[in-house]
Amino acid sequence: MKGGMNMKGAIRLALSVAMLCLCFSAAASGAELRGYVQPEVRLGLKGDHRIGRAGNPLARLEITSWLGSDAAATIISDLYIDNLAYQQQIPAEYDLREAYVDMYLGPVDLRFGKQIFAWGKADEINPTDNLNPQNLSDPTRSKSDRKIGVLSLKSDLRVKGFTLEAIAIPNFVSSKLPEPGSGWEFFEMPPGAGPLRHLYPENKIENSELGVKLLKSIRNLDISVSYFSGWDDIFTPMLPRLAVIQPHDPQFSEVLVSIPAKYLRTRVMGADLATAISDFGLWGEAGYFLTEDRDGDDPAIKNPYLQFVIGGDYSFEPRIKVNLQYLQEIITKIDNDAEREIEESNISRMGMGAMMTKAISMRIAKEFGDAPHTLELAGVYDFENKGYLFKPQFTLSPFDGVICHLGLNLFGGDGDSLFGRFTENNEAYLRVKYSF
Amino acid sequence: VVRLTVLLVSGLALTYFTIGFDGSTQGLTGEQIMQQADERAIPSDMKSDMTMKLISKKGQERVRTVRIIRQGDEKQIMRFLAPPDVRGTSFLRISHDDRDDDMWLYLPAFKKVRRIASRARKENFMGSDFTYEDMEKRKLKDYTYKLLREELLGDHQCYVVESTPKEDVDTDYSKIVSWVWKDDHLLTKEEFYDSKAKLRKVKTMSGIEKHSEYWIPGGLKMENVQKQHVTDIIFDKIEVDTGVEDDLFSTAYLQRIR
Repeated sequence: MKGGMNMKGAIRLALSVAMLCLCFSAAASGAELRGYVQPEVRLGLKGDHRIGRAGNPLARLEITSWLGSDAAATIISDLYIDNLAYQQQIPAEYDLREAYVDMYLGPVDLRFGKQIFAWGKADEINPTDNLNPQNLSDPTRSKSDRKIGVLSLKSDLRVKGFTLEAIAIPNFVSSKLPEPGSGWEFFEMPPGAGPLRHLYPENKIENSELGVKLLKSIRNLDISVSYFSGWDDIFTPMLPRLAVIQPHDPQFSEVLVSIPAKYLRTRVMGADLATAISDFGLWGEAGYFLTEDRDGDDPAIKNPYLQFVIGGDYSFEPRIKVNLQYLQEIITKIDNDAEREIEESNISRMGMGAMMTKAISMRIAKEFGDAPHTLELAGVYDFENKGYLFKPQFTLSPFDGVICHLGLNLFGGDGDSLFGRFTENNEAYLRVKYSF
Repeated sequence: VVRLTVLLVSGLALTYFTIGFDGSTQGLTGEQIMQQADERAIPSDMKSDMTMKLISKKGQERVRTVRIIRQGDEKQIMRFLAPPDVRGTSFLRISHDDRDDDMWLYLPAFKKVRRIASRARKENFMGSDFTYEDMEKRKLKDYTYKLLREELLGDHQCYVVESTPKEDVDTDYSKIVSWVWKDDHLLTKEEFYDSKAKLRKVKTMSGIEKHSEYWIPGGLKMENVQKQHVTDIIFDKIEVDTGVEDDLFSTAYLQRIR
């Protein structure tokens, strides 16, 4: 229904209203109600300076109801409102971000329901953090906001200074990819490739995802080791071998009808550590990804690979903080440059969450005033593909509970690089967040 | 911002819990007076809510509320209750005799626990008049002491003791002057002097009452006389010796929703 609200949109809007009513009802009955309202405007810096789509939720509501002293139920929901640029589509979208029950049973904490997890010690870029699929329709959102909740059971067992965390995810959920024409697509199918035929893992117990992590602090060192057995939540197109090697050959583009899009089993062995030495905070995190192509002889499937991040932070006078990280991906069992190019173009986004093989990320923040207010320069530079994302931002806190963000998202680099693809999306934004 | 705020509040809580007194002080030296103030009876564990007002030169106020759980002098966990944008942020500190404190911060928006470097102890932030150093339990051996005089402060006769840091001590202050009740060795007021020996800040306790067998203040105020800025703290819902479990002081506990 062009220019108006279709049935799906109406249902979602109704759900949103119902959720709001539920929240107010919960608040009235003594449950804890909190959240925020966050209007946002994004203005394109190129071409016709279009008003961009608000990528962050307009509002978040969180309800917690205590069931005695050792159990609680929590619901966290987001409301998205599209703006002028996309008004012909769904104007309002309700997202049940998380909904779970906590139980505290002595040394064991249990959480069951739709959940979001955060593994790893590094900032934003975490090789060991593979439990949740992501909504990749707007890569400028923070990783925690991009994650999609999954139905799961989590347990934390604390014994003699160790914490053993175990997570079971029975149903597979794939990542959400950018909408066609949104300008955020990060890969292209070969010319002539037909429609994708998604081959999801069957919903059976042996296809469940499992994660186990053991944590321990030893003097001033926090260490954890982890294991994840699950699925790559972005499909791998199973292109015929010749088409992969010669993707522009019209002979093959004519015969391709549909492309099987498989979700592949992946196992990840991870480790991370964090410490404070002198006045520096330091951390490291690594994951070894054992893919279905263990021998490295199938060009359609990514070879086993290692990802690692090392980083640190430091505070200078007067009130300046610097955070620096180096990240790298090393794909194993590569025999020649042609194979390397194919492997590195694989669209898998497990671990670091970006198709980068060697990069640095940096954040410099200067605080001032009583609030304090913050001027921040953050960015990522991709050495291999000569691409960058630069994010200057000014944060103002005029009152308690109110934060204003004014900033830029500036992409640049070679056209084939991850960031070079998005140069047309350079934008300025203003976001005002009121928390309650 | 959140990290620094938590450090501030942690320091405040430590100060709050470490004032104390006992014994007689007749004919004592400055060092002996400060030692007796230091060797005080404190609860084995303690819970409290703390409301902190930050008051600017123009009179603008910002309010923070924090739940504190503490075990002895060594372990402390804090959870922000307000304002809403930092609610749920939690902080764990474990002190050691032989090395720097271990400190972790849990940020609910990111669902992550971060270890904090000790550099933050000198930072002053969010318009507050405290640094983490202000609130640390000062080590007696790090200072030399001089009894300046005796004088009346409010209703109490006090010793006034000057503490000067030894050369190798890492501190922002050139000296600290403390008022200690003669009868109970309670440390109720302190003046902090900057590196040029000018008065920078004044800290005062108020509303001191007995909880179980311990004297505990109901308020704490720090005024930065150079910036004309005040931080005013009120303690509430105080519980002592409730048998807090050691298990609480872990990074896993930080992530609980209560």
